[in-house]
Amino acid sequence: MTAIKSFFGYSISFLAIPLVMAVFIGLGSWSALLVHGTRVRISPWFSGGDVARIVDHGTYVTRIYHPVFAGIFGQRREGFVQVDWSKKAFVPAQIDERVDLAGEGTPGFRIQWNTLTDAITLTSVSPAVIGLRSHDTLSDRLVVRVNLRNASY
Amino acid sequence: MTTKVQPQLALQTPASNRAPLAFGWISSVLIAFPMLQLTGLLLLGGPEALKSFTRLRLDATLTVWLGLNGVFLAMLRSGRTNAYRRVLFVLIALSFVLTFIPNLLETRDHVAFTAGDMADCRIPFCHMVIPMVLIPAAFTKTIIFPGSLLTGFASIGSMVVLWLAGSLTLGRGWCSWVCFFGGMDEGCSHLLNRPVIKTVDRRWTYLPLAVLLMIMLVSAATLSPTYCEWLCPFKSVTEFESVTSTRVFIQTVLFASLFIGLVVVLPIVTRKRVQCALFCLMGAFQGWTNMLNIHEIRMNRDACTDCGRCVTQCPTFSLTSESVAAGGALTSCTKCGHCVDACPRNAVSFHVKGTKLFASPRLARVLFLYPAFLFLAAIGGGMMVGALLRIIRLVTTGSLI
Repeated sequence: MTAIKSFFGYSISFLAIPLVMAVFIGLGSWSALLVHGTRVRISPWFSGGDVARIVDHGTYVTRIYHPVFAGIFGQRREGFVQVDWSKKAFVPAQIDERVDLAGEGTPGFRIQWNTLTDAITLTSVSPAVIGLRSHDTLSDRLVVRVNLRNASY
Repeated sequence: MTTKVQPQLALQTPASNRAPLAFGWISSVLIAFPMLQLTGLLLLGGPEALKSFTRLRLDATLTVWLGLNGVFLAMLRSGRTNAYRRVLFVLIALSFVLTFIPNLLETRDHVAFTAGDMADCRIPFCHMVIPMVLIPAAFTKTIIFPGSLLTGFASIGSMVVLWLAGSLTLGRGWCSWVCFFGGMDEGCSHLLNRPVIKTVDRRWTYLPLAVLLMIMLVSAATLSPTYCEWLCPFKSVTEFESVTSTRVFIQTVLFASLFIGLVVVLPIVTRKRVQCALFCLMGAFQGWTNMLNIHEIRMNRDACTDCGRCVTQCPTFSLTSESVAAGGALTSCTKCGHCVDACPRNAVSFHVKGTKLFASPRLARVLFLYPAFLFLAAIGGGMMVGALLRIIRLVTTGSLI
């Protein structure tokens, strides 16, 4: 029994060497396997979540995301919705858009953003809208996050 | 219960101590030869990869490759582990800072990240975040970190794979062979020859478990990486959020204070790796992986005279007189090899679980050193090459970027 345990002990110990080599040589593949295998994603609290609707304005598009309320168990009382603007040809320096959160033809809020002066105004229409969470100019898009109350809470 | 640090015990390891673990020149070269090839493959890649190297990069990589293998050969020849590991570990930590910050400046023009960088999920991921993301990942299948899953610099997927492999092969040896932050407090802990604070209450060793438990629960409840946002000392030397609000200002002050206190001042005055041993949630988490890992440190009770040298010199409080009496180290052991080098009676050795105790300490040591050094060379070697290139650029052009 002692000899068998020793054999397995040394064998497992030795196998660590090819394991380390395999991990480093195939790191990209192993990483992809892990991510795709577990189907994990970046938390919507950081990524903004999934796109709900895209509004095409010709020279640019507005992407309206699903509101984020996800908690560790169930939903939270408050969350946010992300809206971003990215260019097809160009995004206007002055954005003025009424954002329909539910896709029912009724705007939830209005965003007026002068990207040259970075002056931004949020006008709530829906009572679910709490206020502006953040606004950022990224390399490929303009992003706004608006705090919301969870209507179904 | 307290541990008294006895500076009079911090003597040079006697030459006789080296003999049992040391190899002769021929054996050392033969054992080191596969390492030369394996690290060559990891650092230089195949012939196709070499074609993409500039002459300068090739020279720097060859220098680091040969240097690392020279150190490995010295480890085998001398029988000493920690003295050589420590030098490389500190160099890797310095190299990390020297490459990470210029890389950020090159890729996004600024060190401090903005809310935009977070919204764009472009924050490099590090292993310290892993304990915080596990509970939310299990329940929500999402990673609570604004990084990239697969693409870009330090993706989440690649760091998690490396951590899994590191935990499996080294256990908490990760903290002394892989972690590119650990060398900072280890370096500071060796700036003085004698500790100013000689007694550290053992109850402090429970702190990292408390930090780990609290941070994991708070991170799960808030779905945000709490340690990164409020408590990580290494933000001070890597990246932190641009100060645009009172909250961020407080966070920044906390990062700087924790770095100065836990990574610089306390390691200097105690000669211990205070951040790693007492405040690092990743370290506390890695302790559990020691239970799964095949390698451990054992004490030969027949040879041990209970002189206490290993207990006083352990940089992470992982040895107590009780654990030595029981013949092993605590689960917090980082397998740095300090106690193995320090024991004047050669009573401490690496051991492969399941094998006969002290039957072949040299074999057990080599079987641990191989994966540990491969990890160190693969992760740290790249950083050292990067740092060498930055230094050459600084000298020749006056700029790091």
